[in-house]
Amino acid sequence: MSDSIRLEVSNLVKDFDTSIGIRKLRMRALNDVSLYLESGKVLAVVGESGSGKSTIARIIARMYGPTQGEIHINGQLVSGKMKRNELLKFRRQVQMVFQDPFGSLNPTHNIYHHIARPFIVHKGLKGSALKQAVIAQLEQVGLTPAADVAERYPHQLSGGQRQRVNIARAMAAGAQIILADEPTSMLDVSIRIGVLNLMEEMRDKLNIGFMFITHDIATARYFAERIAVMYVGHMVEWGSNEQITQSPKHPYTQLLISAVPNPGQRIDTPLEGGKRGDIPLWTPQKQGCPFAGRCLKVKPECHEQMPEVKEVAEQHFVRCHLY
Amino acid sequence: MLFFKLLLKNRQALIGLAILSIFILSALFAPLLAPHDPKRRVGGIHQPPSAEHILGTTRLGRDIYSQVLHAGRISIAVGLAAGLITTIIAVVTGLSAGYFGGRIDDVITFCTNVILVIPQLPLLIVLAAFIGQVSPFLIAMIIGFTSWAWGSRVIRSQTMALRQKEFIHSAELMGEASWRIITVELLPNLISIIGSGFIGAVIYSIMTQATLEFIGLGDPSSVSWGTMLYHAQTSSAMWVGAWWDILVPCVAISLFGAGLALLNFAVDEIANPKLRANSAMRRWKKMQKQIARESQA
Amino acid sequence: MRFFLRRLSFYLVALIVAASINFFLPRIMPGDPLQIMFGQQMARMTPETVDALRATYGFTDEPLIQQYFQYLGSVARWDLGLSVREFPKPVSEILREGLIWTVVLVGSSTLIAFTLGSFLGLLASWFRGSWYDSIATPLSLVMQSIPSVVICLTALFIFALGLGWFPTGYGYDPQLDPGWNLEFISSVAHHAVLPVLTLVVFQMAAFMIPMRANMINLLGEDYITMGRAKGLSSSRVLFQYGARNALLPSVTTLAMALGFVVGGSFITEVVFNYPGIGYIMFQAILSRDYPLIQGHMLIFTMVMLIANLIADLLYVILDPRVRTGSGDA
Ligand SMILES: Nc1ncnc2c1ncn2[C@@H]1O[C@H](COP(=O)(O)OP(=O)(O)OP(=O)(O)O)[C@@H](O)[C@H]1O
Ligand SMILES: [Mg+2]
Repeated sequence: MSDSIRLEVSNLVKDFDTSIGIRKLRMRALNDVSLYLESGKVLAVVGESGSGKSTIARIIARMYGPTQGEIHINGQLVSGKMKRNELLKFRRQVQMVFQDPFGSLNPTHNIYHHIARPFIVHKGLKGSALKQAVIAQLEQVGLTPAADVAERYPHQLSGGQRQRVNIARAMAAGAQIILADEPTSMLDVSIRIGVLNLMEEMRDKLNIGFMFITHDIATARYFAERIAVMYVGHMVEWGSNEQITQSPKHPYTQLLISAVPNPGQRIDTPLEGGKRGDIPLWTPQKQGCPFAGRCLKVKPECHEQMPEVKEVAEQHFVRCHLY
Repeated sequence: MLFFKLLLKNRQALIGLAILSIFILSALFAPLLAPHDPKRRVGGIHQPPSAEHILGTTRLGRDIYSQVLHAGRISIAVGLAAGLITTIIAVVTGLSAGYFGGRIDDVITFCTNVILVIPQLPLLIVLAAFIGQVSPFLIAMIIGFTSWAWGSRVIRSQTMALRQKEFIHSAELMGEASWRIITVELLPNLISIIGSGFIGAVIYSIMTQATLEFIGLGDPSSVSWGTMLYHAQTSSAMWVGAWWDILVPCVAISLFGAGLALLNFAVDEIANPKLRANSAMRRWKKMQKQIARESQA
Repeated sequence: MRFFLRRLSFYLVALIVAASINFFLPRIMPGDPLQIMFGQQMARMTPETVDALRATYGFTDEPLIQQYFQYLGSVARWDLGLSVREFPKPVSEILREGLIWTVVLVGSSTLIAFTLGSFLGLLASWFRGSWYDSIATPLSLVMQSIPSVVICLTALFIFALGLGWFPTGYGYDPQLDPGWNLEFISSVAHHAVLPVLTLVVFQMAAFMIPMRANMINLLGEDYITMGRAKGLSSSRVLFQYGARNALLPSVTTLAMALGFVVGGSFITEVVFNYPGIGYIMFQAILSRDYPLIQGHMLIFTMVMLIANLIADLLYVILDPRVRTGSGDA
């Protein structure tokens, strides 16, 4: 379980066919996104609503395929067609925890079913070994008394407890990388910290890697080694926790960071200081920088050409014409 | 289990269940309960109800009480069988269309829509007329295979809504096979809708069977509620004043249908929380009272 | 516009499916299909008539696919062959004579049932939980699960035979000559009362129950509460705001319900000897007049398709979202 793993996403593009009224439209939800995840490390992905954070996680988890781009684990391709046993191996490596603790457990099955299934599917456990494994797993995520919790149905648990069940499931499958899509955003502030600490503990003790999607840059700062900032389907800046929070380079990141001292602030509330430009709907034909309409330091070329990725410090990248 | 507890507390459900159990038990034990052979002449022509023949006799001198008990076996059996076929086809097609989507959905949805716009009874009549005198077994088959479209549509839309739920996504990401997701994760969430669909299908089948037999498309030598009506009508029972000959099968069909309908009503009421203890309704009533009070002041 | 073209092509396919059932049924039965269909009449036909009938139904020696198109061509020309019972009267002519009676019967009863049922459903939702609701709602469901045979026979027995208020059958007094005079029309109306009423009883629940459920959902919604808060009177809110929105689903089920009404009207006509196409069909069944039975299914399919088309139109008119074409934007 402790052998290291590295998941590499390269040049991901995702287009959706949608319609506005009766007009058909092809929108670009992700544009040229590259990132990597590794064991024992947390990458936080921050960005406002609709910036494509969930789309990245869903593509990695193979809920749907990318329009362009590839995903590799330790050099092996894991996007595209896979045989059943390869797919199962991938499912053992990468698991996802959803945002909605109420929707992600089946109301007609008890907790035992939810934890037992991954043990059965991926480890072939049976009988008393299975029972023991389920109990141990529940205890590990702090759901005690485990035997009692196992008998309960989802509606008999609190939101925080349900999210622990979800994390326990991912671990039961043997996940080495967990894609956590806003796992705490629908929880009460008072129980968020418990769930965060649980994930932290798993990272440190079990060497599990996380992609942690959040609206809330304060949480990202608390938990992540690296932070990536998304804007309208583009990754505009990424680097270590200190680099992003201490010396943000991209005007959008600077806006985000300046808003943080106010702890309750969500990223998607209107930002002060920025121009009140429209958040653009990106299409494959669009050119230039997506932030140009709101940027205070905008230059003529910002509207014409997509900025290249530049390394402004070691492992600190930014996509902006200012650098 | 909570569901059954609620069901037993519901007055309508209790009445419905009581009616249904009386009918089913008397059908099961018809040979023991019936005093006469339903197909033999055992009395005079069109005898009114008396101590000997408590529900009277038919034009052919057969004992109506014995007939209605035996007829219940066939009518209920046909209703259950046709209802079962209907429900199974509706569940299989509705679930596959809703879960797999794409091509499979297109094909199934197209078929259901076509069946829905072709009027049922004329279709059944054409089928039955060409087959000739249709045995109860065949009636069950043709009803079952032509009336699943509505249920299929309902189940499809429910499945499509469930499919967007995260617990289905997470089962997929867990590596569960499609058939397991459909049967173990989706199906239990559809049980109440399937149950009430089944009851509705049984009601519909019993009604349709009676109709087909009444107009003479059934097998007149079998004894069912529909053929009893057919014989009563062709022997002009109503015109010669032998009202009991018509009344008995009518009451039997109606009571059994009513029992099913009451049960179905209760199931809907329990399974659909919006119709149950309606919180929006209470909010509304409260507000009304408040407004009334304010306007008085 | 694209929407209507799509619906139209779908209805065309549905009609072809119905015709195909007619085409294949006699062919999968053992024996000579023309013999099956015309049985007793065959001996009395001239060779020319037999040939003409073979051409109509496509019972020729040509390959099946060609026979099939030959038959579809006949249907398209509305040539449904000849009736066996009233040989050699064309099926389409017999059906045309009956259709007017059925359309009036079904049309008027559906209209009454729709209005009355929607209104009672509205009341049930408004007084939800009252004694009215807890009796009327289950009662209407129970009524819905009683076959129309039973309703018709009961009505016939009580009101026609027992009390003698209404005639026991037929569309008008046979001693009168059909014409546009008061005597004839009132006779028609008098004869229509029982059939129409039984059909109303048979259908009402189908409109009442959905109306009640829709209204209960709607009453919880904000704009109703808003309207009430703005000081509008209860009845105004109920009718102006709620009913219009709750009716919308009813309109679309109207077309669906028609399929069931067709079944109900069929039995009504049989029990009351009402001269519509249901009664004609019944006569056809008794004498195994297959061409007429097949024609009956085709004509009812047509009626269903037209009703669906009208429902499509109504939906567009009633639902502003569809009308402006703005979708969900
Ligand atoms: N299945 C889909 N079909 C069409 N468009 C989609 C689909 N999924 C996502 N989108 C669009 O892609 C964009 C990115 O969506 P995504 O869910 O990834 O955003 P997000 O950053 O996770 O937002 P949030 O913080 O609100 O969860 C949005 O504009 C969304 O409307
Ligand atoms: Mg998201």
